[in-house]
Amino acid sequence: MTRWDEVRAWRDRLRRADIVDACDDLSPEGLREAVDSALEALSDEALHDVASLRGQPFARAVVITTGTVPTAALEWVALLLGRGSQVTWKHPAGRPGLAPLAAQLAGGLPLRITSDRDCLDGADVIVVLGSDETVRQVRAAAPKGAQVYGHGHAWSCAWVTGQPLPPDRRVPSGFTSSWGRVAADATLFDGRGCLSPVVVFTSIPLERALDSLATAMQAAAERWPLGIVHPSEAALERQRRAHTRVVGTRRRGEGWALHGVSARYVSPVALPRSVAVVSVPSLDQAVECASQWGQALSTVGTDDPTSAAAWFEIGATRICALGRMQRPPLDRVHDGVRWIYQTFRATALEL
Amino acid sequence: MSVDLSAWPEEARPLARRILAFIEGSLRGRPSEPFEELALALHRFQARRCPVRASLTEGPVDRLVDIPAIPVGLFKDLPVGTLPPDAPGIRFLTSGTTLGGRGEHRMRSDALYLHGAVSWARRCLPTWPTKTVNLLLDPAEHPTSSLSHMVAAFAPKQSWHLGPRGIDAEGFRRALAQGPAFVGATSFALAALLQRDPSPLPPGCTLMITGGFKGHTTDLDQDSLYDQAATHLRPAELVTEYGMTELSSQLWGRPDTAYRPPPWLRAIVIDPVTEEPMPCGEAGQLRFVDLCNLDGSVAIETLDQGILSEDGSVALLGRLPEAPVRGCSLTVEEAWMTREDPTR
Repeated sequence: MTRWDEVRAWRDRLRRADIVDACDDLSPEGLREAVDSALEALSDEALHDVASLRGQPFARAVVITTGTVPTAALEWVALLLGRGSQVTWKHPAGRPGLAPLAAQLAGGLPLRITSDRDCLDGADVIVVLGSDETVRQVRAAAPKGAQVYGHGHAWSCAWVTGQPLPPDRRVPSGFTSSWGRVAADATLFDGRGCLSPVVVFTSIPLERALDSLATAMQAAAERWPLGIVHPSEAALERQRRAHTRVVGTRRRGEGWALHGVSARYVSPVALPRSVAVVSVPSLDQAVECASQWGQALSTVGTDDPTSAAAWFEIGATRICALGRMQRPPLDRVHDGVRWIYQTFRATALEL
Repeated sequence: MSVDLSAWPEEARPLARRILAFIEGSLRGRPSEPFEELALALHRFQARRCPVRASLTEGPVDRLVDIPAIPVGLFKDLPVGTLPPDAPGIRFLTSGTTLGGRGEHRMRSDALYLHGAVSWARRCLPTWPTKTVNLLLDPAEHPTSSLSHMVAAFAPKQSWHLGPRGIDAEGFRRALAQGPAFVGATSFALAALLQRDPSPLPPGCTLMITGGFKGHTTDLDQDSLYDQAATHLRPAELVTEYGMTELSSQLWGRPDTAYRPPPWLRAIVIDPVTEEPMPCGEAGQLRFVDLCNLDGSVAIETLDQGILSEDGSVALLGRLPEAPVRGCSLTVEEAWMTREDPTR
């Protein structure tokens, strides 16, 4: 049995596992969807493609998850293990999330979990999934010679024009319309992920867009109920709600809120299932608004492929179809790099 | 004390008089009317003149707790208050270090503001100063600093030793060499002084520490700062002050005691998630109802947390705890830091 076979078996055990104890702050339904979506990316075909890339494994890898969506480490851990690395998954103290379950189901794979800050000793690659500040601290504390890859926080938006999209089996059933796909993107991880649309720009009139998205958000909330909302999130959402009441149009349901505002009042900060909807006469205006935070812009989900160049120009690193913002393929550009190449030392044989 | 209310238009002057009477009466232990009654009158006055307050008013407002508390974040980009855009008056701005942007608090005159602030400071300070030497911004150069504006009213002799490039420790010491004074300092400026020149203050000084460390990097937490200030600077009295640009009234305390609001300022603690008022003794999000806020907002909602006591005093617990970061999206701080300067 190869390492990759063991990783596939591990993935399948995770797929069947009871994950309720790992919920942290997502609802059980929400976490199940998030885990399934992450594991779906680790398909046999995708793993095979990664395994065929030429390179040497890192001997000791540390994956640090201080502030990220609960499944973010799964892909990293899977690929590092598949390559042959010994992997330490460092999770925040008191918030292990999926780490214990992942370790418990790892079988013979060399996966160790810890919340100990001293876990960096001897590592030759360290992956940090957290804020820019955390990345900076880890870089300072990393052993000499260790490769440190930091993936900090970012934001994403959607551009919706109403054009039809081709069918996609990874988009949840019942959410295949443009607005359904936006709702599925905004609901996964309760909207806290850096690939989640915080702002939806649309060429469709505001009231119509809000009504359509509200229907889809409600359906999503019924299928994947909202998890826990924390005090500061609640306070900031109340502030956003008050703001919208003064300058915009609201739609609100059980566990979700839409804020129809003009471009000048947009904020790229994610709050649980709280989405700004901005109706603009042209793509240019959407891009101009988003460009204020262009250097932190990650993904743009859209039904308008012709808009891609404009988004890339202001800093977006990934353009995808609506419904796939938080369901990306394994081999993708993340923060401007093809991240799978960070899971091994690429080598070339030119003899 | 005579307070000039002539800056307010005829329509606002009766309320200004009622506020003044409330301050005077409550300082003598006999408020001129119930707090709630005046607060509701202020709300009604402001709701007619401030579109932001009007928009946030839903349903009947019959009790103190019904008065919409305007979240402080709205002061950044919405005109909160009753003054028309071109009306003359005083303008205070928030530091803008925590949530990006700068909140604005405008008032027709500082007469009520200073009357309330000075009256309550006189009650709370052990000795009333004749001279202040401050690690605060010079109000002549920074007229939008409400803190400096207030401290400037404490004594005619004053000096200021904080600027855009940090503290002027040498000038501060020179000013103090002439004898004891009231020393006003922000936490951050004081931390800088302790790092650079931790020698004792002259005997008889009262040291006021105000504000947190938001927007600044320091190795000290608030309790350590108090300890170090007491140990190294050895002030005769160490007092703490809590104020906000969006408020017109301040709370005073000591490092080991809760903050006391004046009778014309009331704290309300709510559950940040449910918005329900919390019982005394339990921590929650702070709202304030400030009767001195005639031109601004009679009630505001902060992002701070605290514990209310039966006597109305407030133990401050700092900012609401950041939700431990649960996602990889931008935080509020990061969003501001990441913002590209459109003028660049």
